[in-house]
Amino acid sequence: MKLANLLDPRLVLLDRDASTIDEAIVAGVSGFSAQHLHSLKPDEVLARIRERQALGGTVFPTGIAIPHARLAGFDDIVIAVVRPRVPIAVEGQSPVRLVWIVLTSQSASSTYLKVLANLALISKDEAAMSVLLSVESGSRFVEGVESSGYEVEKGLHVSDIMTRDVLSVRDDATLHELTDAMFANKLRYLPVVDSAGALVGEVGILDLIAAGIPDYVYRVGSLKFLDEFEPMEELLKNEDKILVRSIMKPPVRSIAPDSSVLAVAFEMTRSRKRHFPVVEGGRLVGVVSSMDILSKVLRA
Amino acid sequence: MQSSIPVALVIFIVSMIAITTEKVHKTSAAILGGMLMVIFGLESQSVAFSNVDWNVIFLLIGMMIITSITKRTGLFQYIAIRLAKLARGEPVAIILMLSVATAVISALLDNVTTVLILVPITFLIAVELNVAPTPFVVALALASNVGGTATLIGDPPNIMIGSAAGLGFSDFLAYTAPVVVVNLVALCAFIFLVFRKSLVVTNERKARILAFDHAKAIEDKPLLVKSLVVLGAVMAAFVLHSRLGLEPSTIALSGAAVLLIASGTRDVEAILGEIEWTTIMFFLGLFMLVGGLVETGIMTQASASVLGATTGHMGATTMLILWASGLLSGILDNIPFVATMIPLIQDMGVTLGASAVRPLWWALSLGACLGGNGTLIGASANVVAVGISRKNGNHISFWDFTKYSAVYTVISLAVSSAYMLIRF
Repeated sequence: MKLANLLDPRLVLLDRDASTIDEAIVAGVSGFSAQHLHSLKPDEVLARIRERQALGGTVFPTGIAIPHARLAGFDDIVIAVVRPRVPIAVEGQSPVRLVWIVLTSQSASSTYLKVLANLALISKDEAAMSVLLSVESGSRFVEGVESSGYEVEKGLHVSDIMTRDVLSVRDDATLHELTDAMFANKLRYLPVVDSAGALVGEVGILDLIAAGIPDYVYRVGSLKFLDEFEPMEELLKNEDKILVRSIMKPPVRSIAPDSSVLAVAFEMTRSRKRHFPVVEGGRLVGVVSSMDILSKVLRA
Repeated sequence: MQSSIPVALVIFIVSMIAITTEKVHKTSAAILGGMLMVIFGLESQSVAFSNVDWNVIFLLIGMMIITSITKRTGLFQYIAIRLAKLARGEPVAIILMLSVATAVISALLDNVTTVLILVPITFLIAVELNVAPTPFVVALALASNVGGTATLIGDPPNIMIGSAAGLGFSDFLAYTAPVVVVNLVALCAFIFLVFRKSLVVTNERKARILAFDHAKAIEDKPLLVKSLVVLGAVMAAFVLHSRLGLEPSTIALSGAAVLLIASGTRDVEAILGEIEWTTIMFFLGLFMLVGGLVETGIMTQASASVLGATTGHMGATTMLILWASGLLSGILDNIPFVATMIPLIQDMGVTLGASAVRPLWWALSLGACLGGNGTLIGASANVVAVGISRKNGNHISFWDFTKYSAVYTVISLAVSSAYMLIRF
């Protein structure tokens, strides 16, 4: 199914006067007809969207917002799009140029999640965005979406929710460099690549901290009797000498971008691992984390 | 049966080579060897199973369970820390006290377990003292093998010998323990002479040891009390076993069951999981392997020829067994060696009478247990101790270890020879 087929030209509201996201939402919801809303009342829908807005996280750095609501007793996907005359300024974010308002069922079908992933992708697609921001009519807007070729077939894949352009660390980097990279970017996990860029391992913040605890301590089993142990002395003394290679773990299981999200969720819970490297043809293409599942599936 | 001897010998020798070289895991080799004896008709399955010395198997399992619960209490860490503090952080005193403690604990528990528990805490003490850990690692490994020699349950060869020869816990206390005490004194003197100069530390480092809070090392006080009560009762029952009419394995297994229940743990699965099943399976395979060889009657022939050569020279035979087993155990695994020697001495006992071969059993026990100290690879405890050291960045090479251990082994075998000559 094409994304464009889910759009209705009557719900494309171009060049509206909206100075806040909320005004755009009000405009979008007023565009829904009784047919779109089935038995729901517009006020009710607006209230549910606002509830979800309060949780935050619907504005994307690429200059779009996707306010949405999951509605009980609503078995459909309906999308309205509002193009403000002037991009809406949002504190701490890039100005919003398109506001997509999405209504869906309570259980968030994979089609819906796929729609969200596609809307995010379009916003990164400069060519598509320049068309959508310049067209003059609703039907042209829908054609613009259609010509960009986005598909919302059944089945949500890892590539739809993973983080692309991930930072990685070389296997011959020192723990000093690793510690700096984790600290500066507030990362708890980094994939490890070799000089050719191939994935060779992964390293988590606990692996790093474990390097600061000597092996005999694990074997003694408890350090309660020891009040004056220098914390992390070993690690700080040797962080320039120890290489990432010596503390990394081989990737437990490489995840392909076209793996299903359910398969990854299963793998995460089974292995109690929060991050998986995503690999295509031996090369690292992204990382999928438990937070991706939380924010892009459970609360998308 | 004569025609089957070559087949049995081939199976036995190939299996022993595999076990010794560890080209395949020694447990897999022993089990396959045992099964080949059955497949080639050298012993029927029921005979093979009856060749397993279940007294050994269940004594090992029982003690493994008791150990696995007791070590959770933090008792052994407590002892190590307490001793280090009693020594006022003085490294020479610490190494001697820890060696004696290791020997005593090893007399009650398996050597490898003792080393697994005590080497890490000792390593920590050495690091806190800022002295090289090598002397401590070497001393503890040697002490564990010496201590293990003292009792029926201290080292697997003793369990096997005790069961096969009908020697009990108190027999070992009466016959091997005294010479172990002398050997332990010799070990302390040896450690003192060899390592004294390298063990010098500052006052500030000693103070760090004194800052340890030993009371906090105890993880679970109620469990500690229960463990000590059960361990004490089991030891008492071992000493009284002939009067109680109970075999050691019954005592150990009963103690294990009581402690499992008394500990109130629902975690029985985890504790039983800590039983070293590879070791148990190794023994099972080994008994069936050696059993197949014994069934051919070759051991009877061998013992007859040994007797022919040594008639009237019991003293010489004793010395031969002591030194041969002592030197061989430095290179070979002493368990399959003892398993092979047992039927030989049993056969000699049939001819000479059980009491006449008694000194031979003691010679085998002393040689096999103390001989493990001969080289780094002579005893599992050595390998494990050095392995822990390496994992902590302190490499001890084969010769680093063996240059001390070989000298001490000759000393301990000489002490044991003198003892045997005086006593028998």
